[in-house]
Amino acid sequence: MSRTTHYCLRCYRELGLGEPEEAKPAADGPACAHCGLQYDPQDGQTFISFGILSPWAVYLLAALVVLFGAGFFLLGTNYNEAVGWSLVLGLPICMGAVLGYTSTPRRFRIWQKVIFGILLFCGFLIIVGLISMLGVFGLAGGIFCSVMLGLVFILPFLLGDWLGYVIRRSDERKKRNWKWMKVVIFLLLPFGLDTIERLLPRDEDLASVETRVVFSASQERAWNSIVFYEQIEHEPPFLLRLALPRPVGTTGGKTKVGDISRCVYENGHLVKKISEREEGRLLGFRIIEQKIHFEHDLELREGSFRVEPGPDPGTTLVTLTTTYRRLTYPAFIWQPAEILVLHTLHGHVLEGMRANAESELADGPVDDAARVIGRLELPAAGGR
Amino acid sequence: MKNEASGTFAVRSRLTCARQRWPAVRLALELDVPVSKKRLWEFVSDLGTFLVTDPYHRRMISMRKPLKPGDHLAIEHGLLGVSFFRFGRLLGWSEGNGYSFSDLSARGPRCGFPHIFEVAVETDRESPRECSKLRIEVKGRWTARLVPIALRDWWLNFTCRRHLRLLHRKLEELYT
Repeated sequence: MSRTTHYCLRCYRELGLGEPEEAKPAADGPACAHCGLQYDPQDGQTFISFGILSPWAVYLLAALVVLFGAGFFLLGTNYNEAVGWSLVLGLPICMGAVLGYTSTPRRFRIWQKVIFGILLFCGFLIIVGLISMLGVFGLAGGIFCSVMLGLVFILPFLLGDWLGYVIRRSDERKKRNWKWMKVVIFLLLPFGLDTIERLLPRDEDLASVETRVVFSASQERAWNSIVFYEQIEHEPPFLLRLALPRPVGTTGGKTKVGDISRCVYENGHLVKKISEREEGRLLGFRIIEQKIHFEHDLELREGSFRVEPGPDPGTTLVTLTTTYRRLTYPAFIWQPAEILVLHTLHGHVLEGMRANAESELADGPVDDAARVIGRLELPAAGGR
Repeated sequence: MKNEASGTFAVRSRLTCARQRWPAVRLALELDVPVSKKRLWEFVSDLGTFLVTDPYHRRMISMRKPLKPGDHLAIEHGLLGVSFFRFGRLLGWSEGNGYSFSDLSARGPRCGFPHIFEVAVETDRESPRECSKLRIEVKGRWTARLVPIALRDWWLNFTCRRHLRLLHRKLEELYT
């Protein structure tokens, strides 16, 4: 399964112990061809010996890494219902440590390791996709989540690779055995970390994202465009086209507190209950049902449209705020992505409202506006 | 600066920190041992034991056997639970009197506090009874420029005191 090669104690270049031409003249005795450090072929302490894995062992190991990684990911996200430290940092560090631990000195350059890591990650995604045929990632969210996860994984993976290599070097110097046991420990460690993470109590972590848009319309027209907004017809931005759930329209009433409205997305929906309404100024709502394939990432809680006079006469400042419970940790890694996603969604919705407010449609009678904009579903109880 | 680390035991030791001219480092450890020079040399010439009687040296590997001047040495260091190798050469060997060797970073001779040890054993002629002197001189160049001088001095002092204490204890074990 493996063969042993020997390396210089100082520079970790391979020594040709069995090749006399590598050695310097007999007067000096054998020495490293690169750094000149002497060694004694008869004394194992004067050089380092590493067992190099055969190609089949490497493939087997890579398959194990992918299988354990995917298994951990599915277990972690399905039972823990959150993405935590153990998944975001523990998993890539441990998987990298397996690679680093089983590597020999100078076997791979850094770019080769990055390519190796990317290939492993692709294998990981394929296995995740195959095992979870129902789709842990929705089709729409898949690309975005994959890219984000890949970007998040790369640095911890390289750190783990380095740590694994350092541990291996230390083990080789100290002639420690049970090397395969360490590989097994690295493979199982994320599961242990996840268990510990689940046992630790975690406070509810609420965050909110606010997006402001200035409408070139009066406050009344802006308010009407929000309250009677129903169908999004303009082109979504690139991120929404590529990856995120694309909002299609909204149905239901928003005319009084307690009204229920339903925001329809291409692959899901949100059900909102109006919780606060100040005519012409504030429309607050709570999310009572969420199904937009982000259930593992964030739990939308509430939101509001605030309408205020804009910076210039005849303009209106509309602020859309969404409050959500964070399910992905650590926050410093995921927060930028959450902000990006919510700003993109907000921007898309507000853009539609702004277009309506600034067009003549918003000026006309409510029924006409509704007819022209179109509805996905007529309100059940004549909320308008 | 002269510190009397211990004076009550049969083995007496002192640490001398010559006035340091940054970045040069020059330290000397002296021990008076109540044994003959020959007996003391037996201990000092056993590099595998003597060199690891040091706060940071864990293991000494001679790359040639028998060791002669010019041969390489690998000295495993341990610091805060991390172990690493430093490399050097046996620079000189005067049988029965002393030797010197270098202790250099694996990254090269210009970084990581390169220094040499000069070890000398001599008979203490002033002493009324049979007594020998062991003198260890450390000469090196401090390369960590970001470390404040006060911290550097404290660190060197701390290290030498520990080294002296270890040697003191070892010699007492052996000879008293």
